[in-house]
Amino acid sequence: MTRARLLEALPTALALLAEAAWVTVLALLLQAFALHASPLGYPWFLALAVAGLVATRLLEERAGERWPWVVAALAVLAGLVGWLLAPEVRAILADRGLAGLVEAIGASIGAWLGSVAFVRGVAHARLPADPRRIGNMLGLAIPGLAALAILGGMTAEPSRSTFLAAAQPLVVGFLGAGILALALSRLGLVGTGAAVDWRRNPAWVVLLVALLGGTAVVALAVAAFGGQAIVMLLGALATPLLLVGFFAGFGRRSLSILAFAIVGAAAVSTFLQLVRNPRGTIPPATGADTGIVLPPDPIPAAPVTFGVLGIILAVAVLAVLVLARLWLRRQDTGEDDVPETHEIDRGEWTPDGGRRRRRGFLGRRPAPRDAVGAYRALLEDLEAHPALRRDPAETPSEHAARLRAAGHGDLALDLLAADYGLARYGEVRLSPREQARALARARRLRRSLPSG
Amino acid sequence: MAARVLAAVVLILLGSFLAVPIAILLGTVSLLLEVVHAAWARNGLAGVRYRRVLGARRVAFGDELPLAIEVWNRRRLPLAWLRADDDASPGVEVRERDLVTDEAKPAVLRNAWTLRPYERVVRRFHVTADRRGVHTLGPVELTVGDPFARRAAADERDVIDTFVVWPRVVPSTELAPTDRWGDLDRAHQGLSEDPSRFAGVRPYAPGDPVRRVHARTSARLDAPMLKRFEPSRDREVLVALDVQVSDGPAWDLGLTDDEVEAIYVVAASIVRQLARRRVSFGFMAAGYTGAETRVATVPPSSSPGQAERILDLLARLSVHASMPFERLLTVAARHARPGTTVLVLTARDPRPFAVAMRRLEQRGAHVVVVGCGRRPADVAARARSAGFSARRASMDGHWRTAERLVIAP
Repeated sequence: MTRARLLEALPTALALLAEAAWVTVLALLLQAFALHASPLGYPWFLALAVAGLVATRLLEERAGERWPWVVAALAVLAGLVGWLLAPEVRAILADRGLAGLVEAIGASIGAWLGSVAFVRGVAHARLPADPRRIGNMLGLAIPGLAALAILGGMTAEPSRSTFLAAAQPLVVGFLGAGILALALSRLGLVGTGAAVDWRRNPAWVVLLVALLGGTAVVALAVAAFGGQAIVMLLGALATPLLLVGFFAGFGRRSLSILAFAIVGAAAVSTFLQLVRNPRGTIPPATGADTGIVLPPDPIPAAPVTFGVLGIILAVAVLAVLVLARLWLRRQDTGEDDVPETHEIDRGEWTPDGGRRRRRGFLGRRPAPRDAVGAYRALLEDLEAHPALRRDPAETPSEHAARLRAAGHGDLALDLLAADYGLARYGEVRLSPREQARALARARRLRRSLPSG
Repeated sequence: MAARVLAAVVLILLGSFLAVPIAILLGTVSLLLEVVHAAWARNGLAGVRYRRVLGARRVAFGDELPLAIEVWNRRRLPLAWLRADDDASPGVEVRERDLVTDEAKPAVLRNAWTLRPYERVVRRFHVTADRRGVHTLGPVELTVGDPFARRAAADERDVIDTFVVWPRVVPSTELAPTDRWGDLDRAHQGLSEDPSRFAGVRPYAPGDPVRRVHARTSARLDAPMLKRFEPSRDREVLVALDVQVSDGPAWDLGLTDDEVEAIYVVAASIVRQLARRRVSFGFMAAGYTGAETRVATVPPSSSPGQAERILDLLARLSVHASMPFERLLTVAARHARPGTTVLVLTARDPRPFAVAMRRLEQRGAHVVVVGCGRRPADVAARARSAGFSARRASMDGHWRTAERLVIAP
């Protein structure tokens, strides 16, 4: 496989990481409900997802029409192998034979999700990665994982704590890998046929990774410390808001809506508490008048988890940056057949080179040296924009006033026009400092004025 | 978007009340993604400049125009991707790219870039069209992706570039219009000379008029020398094109697009040949050009650029007639100077407009019917039977592939 194909496969690899993560969370939930520890972890599901992809690449053509059946058989086989890998399952089957089948299935029910991981691997076998497929995965898995987490939070201790502690890093991994895969594959789709790929834009890769890292840190912090704060805040705000409402004037309709909301919230809250704690020991409430119940103690292992996650995240960011650096060094530019030129243009004019005095076909103009040149260069830029160009019958100050009235430009344009008028028609010799100020204004205006 | 934000907030609240950090985490990530997306949706295209530069405004059929497309990200932040969809009029072709067909748009030149901060990229293409006409590129729809490469904002910019593709010109045999007296151009063999166009001196020969002796040169050389002048002849030609290819009322369009195009190719080829011979020539046709008038006309002239002016007009002409051809000939009779050769290019039986042609001849013009279309010989024969000079113009194949235009008696 060539390097280009490997890079093409990067979003797919990330998508597989994400797929394996959500399948693992689901497996953990099933095990938590079954009150059994999960014998198989994330690597197993990841291996099965990769196996699904590899099997498709190798066997699909050979199997031909029978391929769906082959996939089904392989998926069942993957689930079966995972199930049999659990020592508890083997012990039950050895003791009780087929009579203990139901109990054996319950002992490692999550292992059967290996089939799902395998099938998800099959789904990502086509290269380049399909952003719609990855987007669908994210779109379904984010609410799905939230639902799983809420369901998992309703299980009895210690399964609840174990499940939440194990699932959280997986969810973070799922989000990171999934969002990265989606971004890269989207870029690939947009750039189809135009030789646009992320290696050409390291700044974007850095921005993406930084945003992802920042988002993960903020989200982890909010998840760790924000929950209680939100509950307290809402609890504290509820009574004053109600009082303000009464004084500001509740109508009959709004009062009925409020009453309905309070009754509904109380009912839902009671139901959730009963489901979470079937023995009926409701945790102490903080505000009897608000009816809002504080959650139980946070997970004791949370600080350790966040520390480990932070380290993993930092290593991952570093790895991506190093890889990006390596790949950028050996960029393959032969893909695009459209000749194009790239340059970094910060809105300044090129130095006045002896041979570049005249503008060519999209060539750069010489750098203006004074206020008059800067104003003229700016006018030349505005020529491309019918609404912004200066009318022949317009004075510089009228033109500047019109643009400002239309919401374009600012005081700098008036000042530049004034400098131009003084130097060009007023026979005023501007000082070097004034000239420099005019040039700086022109540079800034060139950046800020709308494009043509 | 509002639904996503609401869902994220609900997740955060639910996670907070149920003490499920994963739900809070998922909600917070979703919310932050939406915040970033909203920021990009608002300002994503603010610092993007898009420019399209065509290398020329007119091009001969089969030739290509250079096209440069420039994008410039004038911000400190990179752009994951920027896509520009330039609308192209039907028939436009780009050598380097296949045009994309959309549900709403027949042809779109699609480009995508990923831009670093302040990066400016110029991409160069070659544009042509598969038929004559006025073609356009634009307006352009710019779409930008947020940092997570999700489509964030779109904006249509009304930047339209127009270029004209002239009709195809094929090499043709000599038309050889009738020589006449007067006018300014040089003849192959002149019988008269134009005294306003001095051409040099020659030694005196017995019988030469004495008034042509160049006194100063004769004095300097100490031998009688005679002034020489350019020979001249009248060759003002007016090409009158009959846009209709089938008999019937002028408003009957018919499905004869290809035949009309073939006539345009014949007209363009004849115009080009007249220009090569530096004849003073003009053009008239009853077709629409986008102007208010129903008569497309270029007055006769031998100035440089005359052929290009007529080719421009031919490029803009509609494939259907704007008025009956006989009326056009009546207009021509009012404008043509005596002595003008009027070349009537038609693919139809010329006898219905014989009256108008005879009126032209009565005004001193010399009418030559050039039969085109599927049966040029028939057209020429009918013109001759009506008492007019006639030629037949036929190409050696379809107008797109023909290599030669033969104009024969």
